[in-house]
Amino acid sequence: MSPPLLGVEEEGGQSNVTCLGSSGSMDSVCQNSAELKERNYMGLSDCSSVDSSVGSPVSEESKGNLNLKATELRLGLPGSQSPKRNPELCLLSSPQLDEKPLFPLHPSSDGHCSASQKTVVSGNKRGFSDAMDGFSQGKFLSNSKVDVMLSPRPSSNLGLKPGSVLENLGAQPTKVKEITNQKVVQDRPHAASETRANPNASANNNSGAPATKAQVVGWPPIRSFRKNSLATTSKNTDEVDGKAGAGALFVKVSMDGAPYLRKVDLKNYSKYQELSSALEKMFSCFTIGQYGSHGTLGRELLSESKLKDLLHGSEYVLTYEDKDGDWMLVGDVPWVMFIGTCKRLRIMKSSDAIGLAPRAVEKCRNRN
Amino acid sequence: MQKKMAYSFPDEVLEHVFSFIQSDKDRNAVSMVCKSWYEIERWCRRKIFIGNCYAVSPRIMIRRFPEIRSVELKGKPHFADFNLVPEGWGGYILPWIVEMAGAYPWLEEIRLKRMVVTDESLELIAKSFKNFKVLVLSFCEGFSTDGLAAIAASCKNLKELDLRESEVDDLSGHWLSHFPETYTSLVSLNISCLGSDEVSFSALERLVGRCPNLRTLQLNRAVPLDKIATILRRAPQLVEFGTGTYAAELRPDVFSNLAGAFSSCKELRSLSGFWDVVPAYLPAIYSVCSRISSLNLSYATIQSHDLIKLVCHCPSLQRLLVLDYIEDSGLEALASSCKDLQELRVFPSDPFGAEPNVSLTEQGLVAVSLGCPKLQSVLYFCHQMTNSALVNIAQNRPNLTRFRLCIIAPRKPDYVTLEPLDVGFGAIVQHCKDLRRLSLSGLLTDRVFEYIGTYAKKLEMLSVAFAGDSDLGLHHVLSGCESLRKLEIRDCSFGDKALLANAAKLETMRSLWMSSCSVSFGACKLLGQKMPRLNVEVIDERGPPDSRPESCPVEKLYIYRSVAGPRFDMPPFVWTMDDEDSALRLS
Repeated sequence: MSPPLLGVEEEGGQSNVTCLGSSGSMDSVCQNSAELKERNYMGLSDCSSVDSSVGSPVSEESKGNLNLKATELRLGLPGSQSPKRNPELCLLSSPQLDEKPLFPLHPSSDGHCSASQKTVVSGNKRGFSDAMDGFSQGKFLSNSKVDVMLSPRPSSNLGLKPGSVLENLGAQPTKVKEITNQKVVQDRPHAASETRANPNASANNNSGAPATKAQVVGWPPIRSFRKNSLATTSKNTDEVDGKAGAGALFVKVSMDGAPYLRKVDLKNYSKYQELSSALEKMFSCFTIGQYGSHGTLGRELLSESKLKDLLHGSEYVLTYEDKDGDWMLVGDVPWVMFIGTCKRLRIMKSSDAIGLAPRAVEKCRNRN
Repeated sequence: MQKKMAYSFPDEVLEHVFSFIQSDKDRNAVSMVCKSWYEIERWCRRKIFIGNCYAVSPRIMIRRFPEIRSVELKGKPHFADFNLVPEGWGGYILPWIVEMAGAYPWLEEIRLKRMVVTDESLELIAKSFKNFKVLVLSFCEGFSTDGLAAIAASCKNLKELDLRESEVDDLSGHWLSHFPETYTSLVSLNISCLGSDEVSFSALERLVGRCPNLRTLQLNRAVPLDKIATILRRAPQLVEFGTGTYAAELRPDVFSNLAGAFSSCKELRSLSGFWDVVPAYLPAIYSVCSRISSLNLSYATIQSHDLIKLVCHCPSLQRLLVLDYIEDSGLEALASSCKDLQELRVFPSDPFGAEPNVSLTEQGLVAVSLGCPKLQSVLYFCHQMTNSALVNIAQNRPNLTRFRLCIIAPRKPDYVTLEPLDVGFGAIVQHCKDLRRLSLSGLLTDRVFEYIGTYAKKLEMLSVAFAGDSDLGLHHVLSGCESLRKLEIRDCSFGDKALLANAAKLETMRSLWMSSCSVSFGACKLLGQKMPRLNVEVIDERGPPDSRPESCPVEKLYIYRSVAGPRFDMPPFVWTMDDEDSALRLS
């Protein structure tokens, strides 16, 4: 795709045509008379509006070039939308974004019909399959068909009215994505179990892909039952007790006194310390609750030291059930052995855990 | 006025007429005609479907429909299937059972999906409903074989027990023995999700032998291949059968016994199971293949040539679930042999591998779309796709109603042109005018959402991941998709604007899920305050959202319409945004 920033500035001069994507909807936009002003309610523009952070530097430059009318943000107008919608409930009432760079929605601009002009494929891709030679011919034919199919849109298409002007919300596609991803990484400290696939590597993934892919929670979208079944088949083992997949090992964690279970993916941790911190965080809500039930702290956050005391001190110990069905203290065996044998975890009161330690040691002795 | 009354039918007649109206939509429409029809209809409604258990309360349901015999409820959001909904979120069936136990003593059927079912709930069901007949638990969890034992022991009229992929705690394999020897009414039993020790085979054999009406039997993996013949000979009338492990040492006597048993099952139309398949045993089913309409080989780790041989024996196939071992060549064979195919699901054999391990590409799907004129429903996992292939598929199969494509690497573009797949999916929505369900993947910009908003007018459910660039994308969908009921989004850079601008739309939908997006806490609060008929739930395991700036994005957001008001069974990491901010006050 052409570098987005340049693309925007080039198209600035032709904004009337390009920003709307088809001649049809242009008319409908000009007929809209409402103007919406942005109000900085709830400090939204500070953090979450990606476009305001992206848009401001560019908009200064391109102000003069843009047809401001065509770039005005127009949202759900009373009476112009589907009957189900209550126009009063457009909560973004009368916002107007600052002049934003135009989002190139013209069918030709994203290059699909100009694919024939590009040298699209690198040498690696050519080598990818022999079938591609015949295939690429078919591609060009169908691309032109697609042009015919998709570009002429009826002007009476109401659904597009607000949309076509809302294009301004979207800044340059790739740039927005990059910034969004960065913002995303800053704003959201991930739960321990979540990692991200490299978002910008998509174009380069095919050639020389790394040996392992970064794993994202819940992706690809396959149910645990299926993952487990595959894992068991491929490993050819008798039983897979934890909910294991090639990429995950979910085990249930229960805590005495807590009303429900949690699940953790043991493959997310490489040592006991990490597991322990994660569980502390996960079950801190319970310990807080318990503390609160004594009438002292309620839902306030405990200091870290108090939390550790609760979990590491005399109150609770972390135990697990192994493949043989025995309950053992966590930490007695090497980590790798632990995750291979752990079926489920239980945070139990220390008083109930008496007698576990000796058994664990004995078991190790018997194994060795 | 009075003249009109004189001409109206007596209630009994109307009731009789209404008894022919089964679909929920029609029933709802009937009830809106006038007050008297509303009254008559509510007294004679027997079946109810509640797509979100928190949209309405048991009391409200009971108050309106006093004579229900069959209840279907769904609990957790769909993304719970992929571990995106933390444990403990909710979806408990017990409060419903408690209320129904009092109000519906003649309740016959309970069908649940993604709900938390405890042994206590199962015991209460067993105790409370004397004429209980059907229990279907899809993707449920929280119960053990003890609960099943209670059902088996008490439900003398039980016809159907279906545990579709539920998570069951195994405590004892002997729960099946709790079906009394006098119990003979079983019609359908699906225990395929149970683990190794959870079924006593001899009890199963006896049960099967004494239930002449048994039509559906789906065994679990622990049942070995050499037991299949025994079971089948006791139940040759089976219509649907799921094997356990389909592997054993190859022995001619076992094989011929098996083949003979299958050949005596003249009614058999559907096969599933096939864990750990030894290909040499597959020909044992050839005698029934010509009548088979549904085949689930999605656990069968066999190679393409064996799959092709099998599939070519099944000309009547309408539904095929299979692993990507089938490869493009297998799909081409499928396309030429199975002209009645309506549904195809291809699952990945190695979803976490760095490189594709099989030769399954977009070509396979194109071939099936070309060769199978009745194809309506597709779920396809693959590693690569092109716009061109999608356009072909769309043009070949405008009758598609469900299209779910999962390109395994997130944000992967058209591998030939390196462009986003906007145009390809655009073609799908434009050509397939009756498309009701769509799942997107690959590299996608806001443009694909513009196409969807423009063309996908019948779309009811949309799943989006790693797609779009800005709020514009979300806005297109919310403003354009008139039939949209369920929208689930993960890892997209959609923020507040589109959501707030389309707040009213959310009341016309069942639910919206957004996780790892950019919706701020402030926007959630605003929505919760302004929209009393929506429950706006913030799910955030980092701690209370008000401990962070209001502009900070929430981890997960689940919005659903409800007449029951905010719920009170939430775990500590879920906050409901409502008018009085009561959920945010320290209690």
